[in-house]
Amino acid sequence: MEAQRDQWATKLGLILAMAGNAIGLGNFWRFPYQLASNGGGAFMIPYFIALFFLGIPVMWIEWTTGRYGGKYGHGTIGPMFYLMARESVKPKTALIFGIIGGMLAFSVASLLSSYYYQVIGWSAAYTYYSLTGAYFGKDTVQFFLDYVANTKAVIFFWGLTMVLLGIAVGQGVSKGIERWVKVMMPLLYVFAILLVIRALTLGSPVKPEWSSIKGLEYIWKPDFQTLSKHFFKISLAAAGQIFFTLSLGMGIIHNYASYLGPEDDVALSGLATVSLNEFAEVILGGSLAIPIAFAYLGPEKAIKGGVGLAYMALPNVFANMPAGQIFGAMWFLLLWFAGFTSAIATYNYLVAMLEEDVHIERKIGTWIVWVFLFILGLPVALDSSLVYLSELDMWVGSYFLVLLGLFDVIVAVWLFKPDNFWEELHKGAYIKVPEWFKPIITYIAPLFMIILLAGNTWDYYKMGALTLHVPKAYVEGVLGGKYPDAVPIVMRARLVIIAILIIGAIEAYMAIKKKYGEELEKNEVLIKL
Amino acid sequence: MDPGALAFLIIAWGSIFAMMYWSITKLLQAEKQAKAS
Repeated sequence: MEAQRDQWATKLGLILAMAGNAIGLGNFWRFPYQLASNGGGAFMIPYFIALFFLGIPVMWIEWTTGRYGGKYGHGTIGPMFYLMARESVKPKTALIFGIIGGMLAFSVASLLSSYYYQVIGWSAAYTYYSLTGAYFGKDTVQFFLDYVANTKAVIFFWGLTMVLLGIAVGQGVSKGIERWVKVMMPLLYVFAILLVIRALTLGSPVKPEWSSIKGLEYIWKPDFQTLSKHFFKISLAAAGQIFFTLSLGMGIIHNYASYLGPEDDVALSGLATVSLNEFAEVILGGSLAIPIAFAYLGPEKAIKGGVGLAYMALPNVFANMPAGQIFGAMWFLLLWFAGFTSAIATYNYLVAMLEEDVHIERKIGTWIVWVFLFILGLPVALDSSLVYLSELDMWVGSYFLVLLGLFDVIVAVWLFKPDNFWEELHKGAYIKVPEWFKPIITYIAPLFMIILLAGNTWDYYKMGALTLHVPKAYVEGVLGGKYPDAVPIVMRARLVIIAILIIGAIEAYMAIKKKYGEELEKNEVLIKL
Repeated sequence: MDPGALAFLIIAWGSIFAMMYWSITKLLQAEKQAKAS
């Protein structure tokens, strides 16, 4: 066993950090537009089904895997997967699973950060613009397009966010991350609750038939007709949202759980994380953007708001709302807090990699990662068409998450063996997970993910995302770029993804080989009694 | 508000509140007991 690693100082700090990790832009920015564009009440039915059969099981798997890896001094997925897989396959085969896991997690942590931090930067900028009333009385769509084309402003707000992230992560887990989230998470909840109260008491400020309550009705009226008509599309979107919102398939839940003690509870803590996230997403996130947009913009614009709902449609609302400067600033600061507490986790994953696999001191590693992420994020900052960002998001922000989630089950449950997993889940547990949940974790969750992956692959194929020759319909219809000018941007994004996958694979291979080289040489199945 | 929507909202919000309250309370209680022993 390794020398003592940094550990969470308090259980509350851990839960807030885990909740902060899960609660991100997905809750307040992605959830409303996914919900709106997938039929409102039709979306919520498969959403809850996916939460139960996919979200909770994978959350438990990731907590358990993380704590198991932490016991051996690992905070990254490569060595964690290797250790678990070698319970039933030879070390050289286990190495392959370690490489796949490490490669996917590294690409998600680094590439997702390259654009996610930019969006957090937008929130910082819009907090400032709300306070100063910069977009008031202007076309808010054009204002946003002008902002993303203003390289200096984009780099300033993104860079500022990254410096603060560097400071938080550089201070370590208990003295840095835990302290920051203990301040930010309560503030996030307070801001969100205040905004929800304001949103639900707006009445009908523009037209009598437009109100925030109508927005709530759109979300909560079970719409089986729309669901049966677009069953596959809506179910895929709901399951994808569960992955994104709970930060599953990213390696960051594993990483945070690796800082637990070997006998610390994971069963109840995992469930608490899910419930805090769902409170923030369904109750708070669901009662903000859509109800506000319904009251001020009407149902049609609210439903069609898409990804621009938070940054293009809502500023228009704040500009026309009494005390709009304050509420606008609160909304964007809320987005900033939510994004920041999640970004800390992806940042920490990369720092842990340097710290544990390359033995670079945390303080130095933090700034090496900072430079790496800055270089990786520059093409995003410099592309005002957002095509580069959209192409990265197509792969890293959705497809890779489910793929890594599937490998979570294959390694931590199937190869580690279901009985071992069950025992590991219950070590030091404050609750007993009902026995009937075992088949859900072992069979139903992976089946769900296989269907999700197959559906996504089919969708990508139909959209033209899988061809080397980038089709016009894909560039213009899916990525929102201009054809053929945007084609080189798409190709550049794809090359970066491939390069990062290769670096991730090499890193995971070296990390495992360095520590477990001897047993890899022997290549014998290790039987533990 | 539509009665079906209201019923769905109450069930969903209620379940989430209950799960959150139960898990956090139980976690803090267990933590207290662990520290005491």
